[in-house]
Amino acid sequence: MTPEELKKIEEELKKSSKEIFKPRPKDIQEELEKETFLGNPDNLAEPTDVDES
Amino acid sequence: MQLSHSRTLTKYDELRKQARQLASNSLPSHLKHILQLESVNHRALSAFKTLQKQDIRKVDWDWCFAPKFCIRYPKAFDLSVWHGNSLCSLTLGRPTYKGTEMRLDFIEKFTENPVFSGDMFGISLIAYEAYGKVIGAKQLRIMNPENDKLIKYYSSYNGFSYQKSLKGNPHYLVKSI
Repeated sequence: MTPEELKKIEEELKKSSKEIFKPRPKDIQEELEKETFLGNPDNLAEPTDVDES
Repeated sequence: MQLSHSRTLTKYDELRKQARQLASNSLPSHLKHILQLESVNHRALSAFKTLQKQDIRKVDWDWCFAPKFCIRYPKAFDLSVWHGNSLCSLTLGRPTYKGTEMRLDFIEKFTENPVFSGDMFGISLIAYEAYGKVIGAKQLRIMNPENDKLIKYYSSYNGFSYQKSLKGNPHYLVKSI
């Protein structure tokens, strides 16, 4: 990737970061602090391949 | 290992490093330069083996599988997040078969530090978005989300939409990147 392309991605990520890390409702913040995992390990044990859209 | 597979591993290793650096640069000020983003390397697996013995884990997932997964899927993306010498989280995923979507398959959080405990999923989202952009994927998918409250939150506030399970494939949250 060119430095310009990387710079563009970084700018886009900073916008996403603002969105993702904006102040959250209290109940959601508590849920995020409490929850220890997201997703499911079965994804890796039996990953879908060609059939996935 | 075939030469082409080895070359793909090397090429994507470089892209993974770029993505982690991009994600690190994009973190908000309360996390930037405080947390370090690395691969699921020997250091991460060594820390995990200590944490694995603790009873507080909600899942019984052996992360030592991660290096094998990354060899099987040379375009996969692995992430460990650190606060100094403390392992905060591990994440693993891979692009879809066509490479047009980046899948975030699984995150496990180990930290209870109140300053950033609630941010671990967000850090993984930024890192996976970074990697997805670097490899030219158009969408980011969170596979098999199981927390209804968080599904509603990500759907309402972070640009994700919910896709029900279809044709035996798992359900997921998806957004354009």
